[in-house]
Amino acid sequence: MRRLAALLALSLAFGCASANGPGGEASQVRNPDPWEPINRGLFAFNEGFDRFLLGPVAKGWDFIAPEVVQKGVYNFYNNLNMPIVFANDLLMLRPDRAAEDFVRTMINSTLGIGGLIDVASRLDVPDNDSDFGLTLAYWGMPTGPYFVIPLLGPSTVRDTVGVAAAIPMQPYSYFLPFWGNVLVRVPYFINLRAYFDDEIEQSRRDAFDYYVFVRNAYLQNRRYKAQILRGDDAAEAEEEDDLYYFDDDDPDAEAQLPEKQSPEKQSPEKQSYPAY
Amino acid sequence: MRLLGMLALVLALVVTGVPSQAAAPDTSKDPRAIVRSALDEVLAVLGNSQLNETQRFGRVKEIAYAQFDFDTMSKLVLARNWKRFDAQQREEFTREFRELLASTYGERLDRYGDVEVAITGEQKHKRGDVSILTAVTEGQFEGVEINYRLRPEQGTWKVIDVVIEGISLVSSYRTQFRDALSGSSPAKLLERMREKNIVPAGGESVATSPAST
Repeated sequence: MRRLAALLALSLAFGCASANGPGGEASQVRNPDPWEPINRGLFAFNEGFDRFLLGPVAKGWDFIAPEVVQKGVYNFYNNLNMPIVFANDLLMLRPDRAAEDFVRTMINSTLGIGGLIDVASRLDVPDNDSDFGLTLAYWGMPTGPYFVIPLLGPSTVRDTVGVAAAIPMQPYSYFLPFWGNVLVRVPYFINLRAYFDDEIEQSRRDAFDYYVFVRNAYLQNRRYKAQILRGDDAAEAEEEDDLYYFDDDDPDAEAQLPEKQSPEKQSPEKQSYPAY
Repeated sequence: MRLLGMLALVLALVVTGVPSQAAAPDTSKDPRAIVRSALDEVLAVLGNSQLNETQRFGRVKEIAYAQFDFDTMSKLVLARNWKRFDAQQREEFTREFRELLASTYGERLDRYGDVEVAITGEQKHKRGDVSILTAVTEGQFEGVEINYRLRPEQGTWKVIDVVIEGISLVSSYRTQFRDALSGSSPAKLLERMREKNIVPAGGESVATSPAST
């Protein structure tokens, strides 16, 4: 717990430093990616890594492993991850979710043969994906700037803290040396890459700007998950107005654009609402 | 990376669904019924083994064209950049954007033939739009939530956005186009869109993996 508390403190310090960091990026007011030049570099590195190493290995696995095997591995790792989910349910003080995830783990570890088969979903046990980044969001920490983690991909400052915190939350991590902890996750990523190979390749081809596409998708999805947890939609309403009524549907009326619709003219208080 | 897969599904799943036993007779006013009947139609097309892939794609495209309001979507996607486009460019953008969406999902349509989607609810928005909430109930993307946002238009409802796990199609393209347009011109963007659209649907998919089974 002391380690956790330290991480929490650290993350809050980060959070304050970037309290004006944005959540989504539908609106033009807040730049979600102040580190874009660095991030683009890291993104290019990850893409290169995928192209020359992860991708080919995953395609090899995709070739030899039938989909049902890939799904099994996928389920297995998801089940292995459940202690983290459970711990974060508790950190959010959400016994309802914790109970669901406990039941899910028990069912899948037994009936699901060590997690290979996702029996719990068949039985309509909810699949909550709690993680420490979302726990921080739940308690009000803003995302901070967008950040591409080398090898791991899109994240934010907040979620990077979450990724780091997940390691000590994983019980088996204490029984493995550092490299063991790294290695045990390697099959997970190879399999994940293989399992979603078609979709990944397709997104890459279809995106107009793949970097922007990934960033936008990541930020939107994380904000959505945080909103569900927090159960509030004040920020959503503001984003929505910008997204769906940016000019009240009349492109020829920009001369009469209402002041409130123009983000450049928003009051400073409005600009600094914490986003998650 | 699970996220990427889901986003790639944005359009693929627009066109698939589970057939409802009772097709509502008067669907013209109720957004939920409109989504359901569109999903049913699409599923029927995908399940029709007498059509080849090209024909199925053609039919699905027709259904999507009837349900989507591409004019509104184009405006929302370009947002403040819309005014930089002249009348002819706006028209061209709408056309190219529609093609872009069509080829995005047409490419891999058959992969999602066995997907099942259930309508799970609806949400009324402040200013008149309604979101129909659906969830995938079968297959690789089981549990994924897909919401269709509809806007009342001339006595009926048109889809103006598809939101998968919180990822809005409009927002996704808006940020991409905004980036492409900063320091560039509408003419250049249209040119890039044309280039992207010229590539025939499915034409590139050969180059992906030896195991796209």
